[in-house]
Amino acid sequence: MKDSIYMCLRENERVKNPFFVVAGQPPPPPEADAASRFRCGQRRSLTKDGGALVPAAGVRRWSRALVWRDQKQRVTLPSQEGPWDVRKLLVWMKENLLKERPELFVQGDSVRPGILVLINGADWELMGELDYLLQDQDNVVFISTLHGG
Amino acid sequence: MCEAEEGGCGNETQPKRAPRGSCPSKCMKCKEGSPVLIIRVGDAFCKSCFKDYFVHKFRAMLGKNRCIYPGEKVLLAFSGGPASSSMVRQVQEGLSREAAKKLRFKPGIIYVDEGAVCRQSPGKREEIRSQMEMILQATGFPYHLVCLEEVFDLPGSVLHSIPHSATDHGGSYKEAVDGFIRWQQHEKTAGDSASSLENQLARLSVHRSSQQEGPPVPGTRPPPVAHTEALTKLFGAVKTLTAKEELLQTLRNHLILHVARTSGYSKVMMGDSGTRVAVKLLTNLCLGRGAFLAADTGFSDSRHGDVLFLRPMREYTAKEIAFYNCFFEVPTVFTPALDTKTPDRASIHRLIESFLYRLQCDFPSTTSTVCRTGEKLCVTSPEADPGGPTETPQCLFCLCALDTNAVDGSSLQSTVLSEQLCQKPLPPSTGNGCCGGASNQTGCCRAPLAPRDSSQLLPLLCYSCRLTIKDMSSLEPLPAYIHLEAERRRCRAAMKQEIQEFLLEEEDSDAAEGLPLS
Repeated sequence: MKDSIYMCLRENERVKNPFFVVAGQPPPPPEADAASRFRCGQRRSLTKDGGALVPAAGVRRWSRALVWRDQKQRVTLPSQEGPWDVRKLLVWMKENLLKERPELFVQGDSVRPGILVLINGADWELMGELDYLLQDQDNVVFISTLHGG
Repeated sequence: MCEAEEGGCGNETQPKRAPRGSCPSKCMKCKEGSPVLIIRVGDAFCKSCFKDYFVHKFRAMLGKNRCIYPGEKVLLAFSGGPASSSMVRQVQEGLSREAAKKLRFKPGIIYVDEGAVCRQSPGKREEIRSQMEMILQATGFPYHLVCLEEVFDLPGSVLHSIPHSATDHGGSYKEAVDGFIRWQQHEKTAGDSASSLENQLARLSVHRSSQQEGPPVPGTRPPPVAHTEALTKLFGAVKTLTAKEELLQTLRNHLILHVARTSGYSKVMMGDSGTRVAVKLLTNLCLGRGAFLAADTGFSDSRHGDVLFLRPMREYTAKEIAFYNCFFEVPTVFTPALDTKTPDRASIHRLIESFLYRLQCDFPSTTSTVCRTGEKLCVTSPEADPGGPTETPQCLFCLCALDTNAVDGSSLQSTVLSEQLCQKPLPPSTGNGCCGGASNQTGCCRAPLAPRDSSQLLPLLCYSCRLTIKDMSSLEPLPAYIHLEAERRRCRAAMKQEIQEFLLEEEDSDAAEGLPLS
């Protein structure tokens, strides 16, 4: 049984062509896709009153090299014996999605201090943090507070 | 219990370990909505209560401090980051409310493009500038897009602290507000055309002045390559990341100050969040800026005299700001900074930041405690008549009062002494720069400037700016306005030294008044 998770690195539903990552396959090169998706998302999401998202709500500090910035990724996790929780998801991300400097995202068991996690639009502290059990079609968003001012 | 679709804790399986405290099931304020985030230690808020809380806090900050008078022009410093974007959004919302509770100032926005320092490619810089421009245009406020390279065109007067007469408003804050409301009502009955025309004229003049600031015209042309190279060379001459960050902040502040002065803004709002202020507080202690904590981290910073720097986002934690931006779709742009992807110990700023964040994880009241302790510090207002003989000397870079009076027994004295003992004795200098020739005083400003070494700048700087300078391998690449102002101050100090014996001190003049006429 496979669990599918929409892992949004940006909470914008209007991105065209979210691409699918199946665990075990190498991800496509980030730069070309990231730039085009970034621009494409930008064009579509700007409205006249300027209240729309300019994509940057994803993880920032490490995103350009480690993961693709501001992308919605639908992720299919491999099946395993026990259920998936956030702790295991982080381990999986560290092994499969982070290309370099994993210590900028994951520290020990948990995310690095300063990175917020939203599960289905709510603070993960309300859900049990690392012990929250992932369900099908869950939305997990990572936001960095370490950057910007 | 948890928002949105199925899948939440407690539905099918119990969590292995109970989270910190119990999972609150209802918003603590309205007791009805389902909570979406936890603020502080255990306060769960639903989305609408959180929005009310956030908006109310901003307006309460401005209202409590009562420093922005109606109709004033305020410059918002926008970096594209979450806190400044949130601040711009709050100002937008505050200005759009019903008339009685509207915010009453006229905002403008400034964005400083620091891409050259962060080594971005020109294409990347262009891309970020165009994104910024789109966001700024969408706000509807007049905006200024400046590049950090423009520091090389600044005049020396930017380093002067122009005294600000508090009698400009001619009355208390309440009277000013009442007067403004009466004026507004009068305008409404008289007809809207006059006020809107006035606003449009004001807006035109701002746009025109922003174009006249000199090359490059904001948003249209990239900065001249020579300036970009000079900036790269300047930051290449700085050895440590800590000194680079301090220098960058100094130059950025000077540039913002210059734009504010030339465009007629009397206040500048910076987007420092509470978390950032706490980090800055501890960092400044480590950098030797303990004497200026109140100015650097307080709500208002009056060191420049005529332009007041405010920090209205000071009460918000970074988490609250990030959640607000996420829930209410505040546009932000990611720009890499000097310390992006650097290890934890690359600079003092990074070290303190990682220390505080880690401590905050286990002790959630850390940042608020640090901020509140910092709030207890306040700046003593200078009572002496500015411009008179008792004017306090200011640091050349940060424009704070010099704290380098090495009195007997002070720690500065011991530091200086140990430095001197460690260094080899310097060869005797040939004179005090351009004012060394006592015979030719009139020619002192026309003589060629002395070679710019650090020993000439050091006496003009506070302790922490001295440390920044000491981390630079050469002072030549500094912008011209700094050197000019340094020369001017040195000449004045030398001149004052020469005529010292003829100057009447305060005590002498008081004593003289008491004497009978002879």
